[in-house]
Amino acid sequence: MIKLLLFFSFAFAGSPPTLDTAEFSSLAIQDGGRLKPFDTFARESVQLITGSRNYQGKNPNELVLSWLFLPTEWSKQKFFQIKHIELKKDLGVADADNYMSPAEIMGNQKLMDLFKEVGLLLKDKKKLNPYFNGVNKLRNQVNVYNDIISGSGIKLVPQRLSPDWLSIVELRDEGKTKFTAVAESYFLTISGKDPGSFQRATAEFKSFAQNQNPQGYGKDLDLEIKYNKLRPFQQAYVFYFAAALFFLLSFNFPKKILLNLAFLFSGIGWLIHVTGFAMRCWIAGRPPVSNMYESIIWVSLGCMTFGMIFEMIYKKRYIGFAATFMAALALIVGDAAPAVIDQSIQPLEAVLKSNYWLTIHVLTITLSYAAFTLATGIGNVALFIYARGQAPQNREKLQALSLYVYRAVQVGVLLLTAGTILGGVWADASWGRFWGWDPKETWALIADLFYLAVLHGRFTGWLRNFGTVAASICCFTAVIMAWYGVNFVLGIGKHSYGFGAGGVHYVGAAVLAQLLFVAYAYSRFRTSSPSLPPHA
Amino acid sequence: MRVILEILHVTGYRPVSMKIALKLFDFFSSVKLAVILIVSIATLLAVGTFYESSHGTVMAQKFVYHSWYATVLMILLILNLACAAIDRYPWKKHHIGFVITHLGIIIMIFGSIMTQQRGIDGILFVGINETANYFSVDDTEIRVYQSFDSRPFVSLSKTPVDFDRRPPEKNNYSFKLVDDDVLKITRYISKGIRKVDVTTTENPLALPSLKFKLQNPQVTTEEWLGLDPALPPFFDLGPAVVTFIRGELPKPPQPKNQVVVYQNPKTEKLSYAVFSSRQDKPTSKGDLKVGEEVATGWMGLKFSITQYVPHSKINIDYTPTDSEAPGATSAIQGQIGERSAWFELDSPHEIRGDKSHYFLSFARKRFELGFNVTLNKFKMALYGGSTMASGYESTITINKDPETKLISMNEPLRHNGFTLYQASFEQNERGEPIASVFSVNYDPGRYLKYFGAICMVCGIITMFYLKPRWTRKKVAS
Repeated sequence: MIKLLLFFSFAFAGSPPTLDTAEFSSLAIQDGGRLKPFDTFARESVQLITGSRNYQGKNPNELVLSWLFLPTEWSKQKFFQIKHIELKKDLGVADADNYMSPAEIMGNQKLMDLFKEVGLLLKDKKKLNPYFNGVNKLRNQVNVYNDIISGSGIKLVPQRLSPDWLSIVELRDEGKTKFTAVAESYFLTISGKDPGSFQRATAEFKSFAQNQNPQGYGKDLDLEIKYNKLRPFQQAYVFYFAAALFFLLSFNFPKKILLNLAFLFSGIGWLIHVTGFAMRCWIAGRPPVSNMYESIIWVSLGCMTFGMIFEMIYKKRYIGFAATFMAALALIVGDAAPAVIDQSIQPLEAVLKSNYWLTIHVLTITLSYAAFTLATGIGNVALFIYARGQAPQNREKLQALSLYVYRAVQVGVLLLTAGTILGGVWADASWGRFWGWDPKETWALIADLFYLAVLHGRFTGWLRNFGTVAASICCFTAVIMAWYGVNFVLGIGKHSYGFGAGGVHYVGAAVLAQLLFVAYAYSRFRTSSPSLPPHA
Repeated sequence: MRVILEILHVTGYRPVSMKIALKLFDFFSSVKLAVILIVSIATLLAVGTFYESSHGTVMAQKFVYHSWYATVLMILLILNLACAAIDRYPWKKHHIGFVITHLGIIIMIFGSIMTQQRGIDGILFVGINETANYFSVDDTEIRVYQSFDSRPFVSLSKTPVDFDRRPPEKNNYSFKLVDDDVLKITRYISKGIRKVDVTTTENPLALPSLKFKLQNPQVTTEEWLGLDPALPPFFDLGPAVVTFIRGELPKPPQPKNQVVVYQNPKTEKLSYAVFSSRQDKPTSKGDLKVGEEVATGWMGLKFSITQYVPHSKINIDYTPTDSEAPGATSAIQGQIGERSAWFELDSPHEIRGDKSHYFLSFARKRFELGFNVTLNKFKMALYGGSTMASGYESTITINKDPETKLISMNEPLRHNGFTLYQASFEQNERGEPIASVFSVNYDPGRYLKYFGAICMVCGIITMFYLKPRWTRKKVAS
């Protein structure tokens, strides 16, 4: 078959592709321990290999099919993303170049040696430094690409007796004929000779694959294709961001229409967010509890929901602004670095599987993060007023804002306490230890304690309005540590190298900026109300 | 408490001791103390997590979480919580949430203390088709025996030790043995990688050592073997064994993949024989020179001697390392008179004294389970088309009970007060499972902790959400 493909690829090199991939993208593929539509596989592969969602504006399905059927066309094109500067230097890639071609990679002896070396490091379960992380990433890209062009990673046909699916190179007899027909029709279609043939051949292949094991072929994957197309969380943040802008405008121009628009956009964003969340649950067959991206979706949804409830109770647009802004910010961060925050849906680790307590525990804890996120958002609105030196004129407003922060912290403390205990219950049920000083659980407790100190501190009179606001914001650092830091800083921290690959610098800078803002607001607050002790 | 104060005020009875007691009480019941304690505990824990990431969980528990200062903070917290609750006595309706929460925390802390004092958390290791009836915990102990034929014979002493907390460099560890022999522990390496240094000596009585290499494209193993007790005489790789002996080539007791290197005591020349698990006779044999490669016939492994020292002086040391480094282990150095030797955790061996031979074990404490666990089967299920595990499952028998029991991830087995959890498993070079590892747990504080936790959460809800409602109603009426 490879020979056949090569023949075709020479014959049709350079023809403009006019391909309808809808049918092919709906084929089920077994990949990464899960059944998914080819659409998802194509998107994930393109994201990994080229580092962008739509490489050169091409539809990922088309691109992957083109890699598969026309590999020679691509061998000299540069599309393997490479970022690590030192690695580029070692491989003889110019600093300005961010991509390598398959030919450059395969012909680079130094790189092959590095691949071998990183393989040995991984086998010994050693932690990788950023340089080898870069090598390993490139190695994964090359592996995925090789699995595509050889066809061995494209497992499209279920078997009757084994849970493992057959890849297109393992097909025999009818399957082989059917897929060869798909390949032929691909060339007929892109050469314009028979434009409808690709769809027809693919549909025939699909029904063949389905017939091999109708139960094993799995549930309807259309929902996942819709989810991929809809990109609900990206849409949600656009609406949230717009809502936040209208809230902001309504502070300066007190027109009813602005506020109504803000509420409308928040509502639409929230509905899309909820829909996307439900879709993801349905597709994964479980609540989204397993990785950073899923927790970000859940936390931003929680933040919005708490914001809406608070808004209903207190009817203050500051809350709406803080909630939409923070939710948008969280979703944007989640979307900004797909290489660090993996967006793909993956099967659960064995220890996390089918466990009722785990699900409740994780959802409760992360929901507390949502409340703290809202508190931080509202707190920053108050800080802004302090920072502008307008504290004396806005005493009542600040009093109210600090009350909302306090209330949000209360919600968070309740949820975090309950969630941490539920974590203990889960750990106890799962491996017989209610508390094992695992860094993740310890940091959840640390965050809880710091917020508890704020609640008690207000009670002693040590913290007044400014103090409550500032202290709550500072406490959010502990949440960041529990949420992000334990996995990305402490986990790697076992070896002093290894930083940087996970965006530690960005998060660190953001935390530092926040703390500096608190300090600046404090100094402005002291100078603007010189006669007052730090309260009011 | 205010009540007592008022009565005292009315009666005019105010002894100094009572005044001090009240002052103390005020101090311990204050919210300010609470804030200070909470922040201190949180800070201590934060430091602990960083310490843990560099020194490992066990060390962090010893030096941070279960340290004396953590205990002091806990005691102060309990006092603070209790005094704060008593201070508000007689309790009114609006105190309910507050009191329940604080009582819940105290109950939880007591539950944890009970777990820490009387609970057991150990590891049970069972090979496939093997039976085990004891488990080990992280605490270590030293056992010394008088030995006979390199085996423990008469038990001389058994002492629990914690070298992390009380290192031998600063504390005296000596054990009286037979007659005047005294064993001293001189050094301790918490985590270290063994470093063997072998040099040639003029002493004609010094024993031979050799360094062998087994290599195929996937694995390389290089180890020292020696006839001196400081080095092991054989090395077990799992699928194959390498043995070094002096004298004639013996017949192995059972067919096994084995390389035997034997030294002619007179000429000091080396010979080798390769045995396969399928037959009694060696598959190949002959003279062996340093650097010469011999094909073993198993998994493409090639055998060679890289170094041979006929009269060797052996110096073993440990390079302290990170807790996560592969091959890192704990070790102690024991000394009797002039002789000293290293003992790694859980690998006991002989040491010679002036008056007798001894056998020293530096090992994790073991406890009897009270029943036998036989592992019949271990299964690792994968997600279809991947190498990612979707679950682990052990089928076991208890005390030859005809009924088999299943222990899987998140599905523990309770028996005789112990709970057995599927923790992990061991595999051989080919990735096949060879043993299952269970975590064994006995926790008398469990229900106290649960009860305390429920009190705490209910209390918080009452305080935050019910109390404001009650007070609002009061204001309205």
